[in-house]
Amino acid sequence: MLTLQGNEMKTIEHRLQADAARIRVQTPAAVKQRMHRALARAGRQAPTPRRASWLTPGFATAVAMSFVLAVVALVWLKQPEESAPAVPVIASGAPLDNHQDPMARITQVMAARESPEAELQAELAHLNADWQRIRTRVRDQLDPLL
Amino acid sequence: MTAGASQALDLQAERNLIRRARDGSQAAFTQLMEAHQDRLYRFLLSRAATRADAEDAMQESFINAYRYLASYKPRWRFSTWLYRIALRELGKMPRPAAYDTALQEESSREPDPLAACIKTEERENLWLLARQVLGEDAFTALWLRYAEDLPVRDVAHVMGRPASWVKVVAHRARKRLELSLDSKQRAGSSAEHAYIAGQ
Repeated sequence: MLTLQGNEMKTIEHRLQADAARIRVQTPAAVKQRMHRALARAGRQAPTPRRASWLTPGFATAVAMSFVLAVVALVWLKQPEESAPAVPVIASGAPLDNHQDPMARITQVMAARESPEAELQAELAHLNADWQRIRTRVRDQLDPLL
Repeated sequence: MTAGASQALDLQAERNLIRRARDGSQAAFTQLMEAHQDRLYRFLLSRAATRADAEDAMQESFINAYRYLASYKPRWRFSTWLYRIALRELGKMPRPAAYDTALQEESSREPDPLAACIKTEERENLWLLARQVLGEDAFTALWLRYAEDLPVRDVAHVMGRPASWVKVVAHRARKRLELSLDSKQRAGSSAEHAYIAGQ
């Protein structure tokens, strides 16, 4: 009779594991032979097992092309905007009063003191920002007029 | 837990064989097949309606494993992947009418393949009771968990269910078995009492 008695059979889990261990099965020789033959047939039909799609040459080409396209798109986007149509300089414009050519300003600063390169770079960035702000302002003022 | 004369493979050796088989070595795949065939056969016998169904399902499982070896993901055990394929193959077979071994033995049909694997003196095997009282899914979950010693997440992967489902089903199945054992025990002792009283 099936009971749960015995020290080593305290739980159903132990009993299931122990009983499963007692079920010993060996694949019959005829079945093994049949499987070997079937495998050989499958091997002849497809000499090498199918590889994962990401390992195929087609996939590698697609990845390479995507990469090239991405680089081209990035370069194109990073290119400076087409220089705006020549805007007449407003000699008397207030925003331009204090403007100084960035390179001239740098040269001036370099001449004035032997600054380290980082300081010059910072100065250049500052001047460039000024220049962009002035350009925008001039364009904003001119657009309604044109 | 042994299931016959399967050649045990350590993890590294198995990975090497898988790599070689993926590179097209049929000999490597044959070695993998030989290492897993007995356990897979035992699993299929526990679920199939007939021995022939189990054999057919095993052959198809290995052929499909060979064909689609490239899709095997090493984060699962190779055996887990095989059980998953085998369960799918078994699903294509005609479903068994009943798991009742007593009825099968009385009829002229082929005896339950699982029962046929268990020696006569070991007919108290709990798995025979499990086949009688549990549904297919519960039996499979329990078998994979305790007979094949798979972790819950692997059982869930084989059965295509969440891990929580496996835990709940396994728990209910154990309870069910426990109740069935209790009722069998009670029935046995009352029969014994009746016999003694009759004397």
